[in-house]
Amino acid sequence: MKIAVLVAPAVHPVSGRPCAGEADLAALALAQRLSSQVDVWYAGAADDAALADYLARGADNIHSLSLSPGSDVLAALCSVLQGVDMVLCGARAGGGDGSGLLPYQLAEQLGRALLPDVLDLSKSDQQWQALQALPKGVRRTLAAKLPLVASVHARAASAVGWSYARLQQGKIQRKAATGAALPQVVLEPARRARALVAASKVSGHARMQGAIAGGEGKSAGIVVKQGDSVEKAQVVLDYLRQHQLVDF
Amino acid sequence: MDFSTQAIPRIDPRRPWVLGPSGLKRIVLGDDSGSRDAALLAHGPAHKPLRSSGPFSQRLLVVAHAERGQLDDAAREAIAAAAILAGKDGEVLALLYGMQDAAPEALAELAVDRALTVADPGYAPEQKLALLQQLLQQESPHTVLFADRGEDADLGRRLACRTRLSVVTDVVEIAADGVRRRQPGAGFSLRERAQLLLLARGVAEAKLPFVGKGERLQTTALSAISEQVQDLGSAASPASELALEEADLIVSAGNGVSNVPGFLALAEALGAAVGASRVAVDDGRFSRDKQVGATGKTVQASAYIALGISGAVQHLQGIKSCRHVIAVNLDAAAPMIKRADLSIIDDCQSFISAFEALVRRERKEKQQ
Ligand SMILES: Cc1cc2nc3c(=O)[nH]c(=O)nc-3n(C[C@H](O)[C@H](O)[C@H](O)COP(=O)(O)OP(=O)(O)OC[C@H]3O[C@@H](n4cnc5c(N)ncnc54)[C@H](O)[C@@H]3O)c2cc1C
Repeated sequence: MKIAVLVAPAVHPVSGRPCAGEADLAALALAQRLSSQVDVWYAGAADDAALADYLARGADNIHSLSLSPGSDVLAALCSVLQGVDMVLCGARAGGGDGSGLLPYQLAEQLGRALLPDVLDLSKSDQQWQALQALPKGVRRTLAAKLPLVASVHARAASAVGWSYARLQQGKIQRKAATGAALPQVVLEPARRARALVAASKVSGHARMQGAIAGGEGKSAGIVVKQGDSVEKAQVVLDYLRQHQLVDF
Repeated sequence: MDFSTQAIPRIDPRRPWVLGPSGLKRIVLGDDSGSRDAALLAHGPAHKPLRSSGPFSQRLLVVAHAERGQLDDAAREAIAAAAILAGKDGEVLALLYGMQDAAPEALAELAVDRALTVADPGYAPEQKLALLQQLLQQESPHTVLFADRGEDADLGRRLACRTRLSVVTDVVEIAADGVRRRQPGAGFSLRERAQLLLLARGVAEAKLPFVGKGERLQTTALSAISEQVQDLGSAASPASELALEEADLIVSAGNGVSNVPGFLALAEALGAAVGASRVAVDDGRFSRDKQVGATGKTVQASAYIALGISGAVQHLQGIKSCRHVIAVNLDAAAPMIKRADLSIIDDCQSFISAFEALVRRERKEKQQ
């Protein structure tokens, strides 16, 4: 089975230098566990130094599709991924736009099933089963047939450690490609974002009342002082049940 | 002079007033209808005016998944953003999954004008997309808003790719000159306002001074649609194995908990993740990765049970986004009691053993 892994350099949160992305590394590790035929692809304008981290962390050979800055990578990637059985990528890139849209676009464009936020993949009969990470620790099992696109969650098991020997042995093969130009964006330094607030026409008195009632407009909580511990425990359990916070 | 024959112009200090459409007290001079009761305004239930009564010439659509029949803050903010952006002639439509039992008043309170409430079909992206596309065709909203987290983020991205609407994700600010999103490692980027916006937390203030109409929206039923991907069911991993940030139910111990084995037994019986205050961690009762608060972890649990925790600001910072907080403390004046939705004034040790026994008994009864 042929697997393609898509990687892109991330921005290091402290130094601001390009490095390997957490989710992309997890995708690389997962692919290498599933198959020996793994191709690593990158599309974009980054230079070789930015991709070096992936070589040092287990990619033998990276195919880099060189595009001019500010062009769409979708068409270039689609053309090389046409015959690949399984495409793995990180759920979100740590650099560029980092919008998490690429796996969805690829699945739509290539007409394939999409398995988002995957922690693990395993084969059973004709199908591939994916363990999907959902918020609040819920894990969902999804099944789909090849060919498919899966985005790998950053919490999945990561790639091997950084190695200088692998960095020296690894190669990056460049190929020129073209893509449609993306709309220009204006970059600004980060600041505190201004939230939309509805203009309030309420009287000052009502506003004060609201402020006294406590934050987020909710009234003060219930305080239980009466009874012994057993009765109080019952109160807590009733509360949990009333708000469906426990399943018994 | 004869004063008694002349009418002295006097102002009635308790002139009758009526409540205007904007919720303001109005006094009409010379009119003696209305209320004279001053206490009514001060202590009556807050009266929120209707945002706009129409007629509407344009629409915005918000799509949200409810959890246990309730929308979380991210989804409320998305609806609030729509209501603020809508203007006088704009209508706020909502497609709400898992809120089929919601009362019209609850929908109005959310500032929704018309809502299509559907039972959550679970994992069914193709079916949801088909419904959304039908809704887009029927109502042609100019903007569609999603909260950029969980199921909503997934559905929003799918819709953007299927319908090729222009999309901006991770929107942190909607301004007159466009929308701003967080760009990894590069601050903000300013873009044109797209048709489809996926909103990060804090884009809008969820508390609104108005209500919506809260009507129901109808569409024709769709035929069954086959899914490419099959759902084999989901399971919540045992909370005790989860990272604190991911857990949905947390019991947390503070300085007031001296019987640690008993506390851990309660956590196991409840199936809850274990947290602790800094004092309890510094004492060596719990490991550092259990610490909740400013210098520990920020948690997002639906329910947070704080046992013997005073509720210092540094601790409260870590539980800001917990939906239900339950506090057990001997001191009824502790700051945690002010934050908590339910407070029990009791000794922790006896409460823990009573609660554990109760939970174990009820669980056993349920299994039979
Ligand atoms: C820079 C800085 C960072 C900090 N970061 C954090 C942080 O990340 N997380 C954090 O938690 N703290 C943090 N703290 C510490 C914080 O200020 C408080 O000191 C700490 O949270 C208090 O912990 P506590 O509530 O467990 O203990 P205490 O303040 O001692 O409170 C114990 C509470 O238990 C009650 N109690 C006692 N005995 C019983 C009993 N038998 N039954 C029932 N109730 C009982 C008492 O009435 C009291 O309310 C930080 C402090 C600083 C200065």
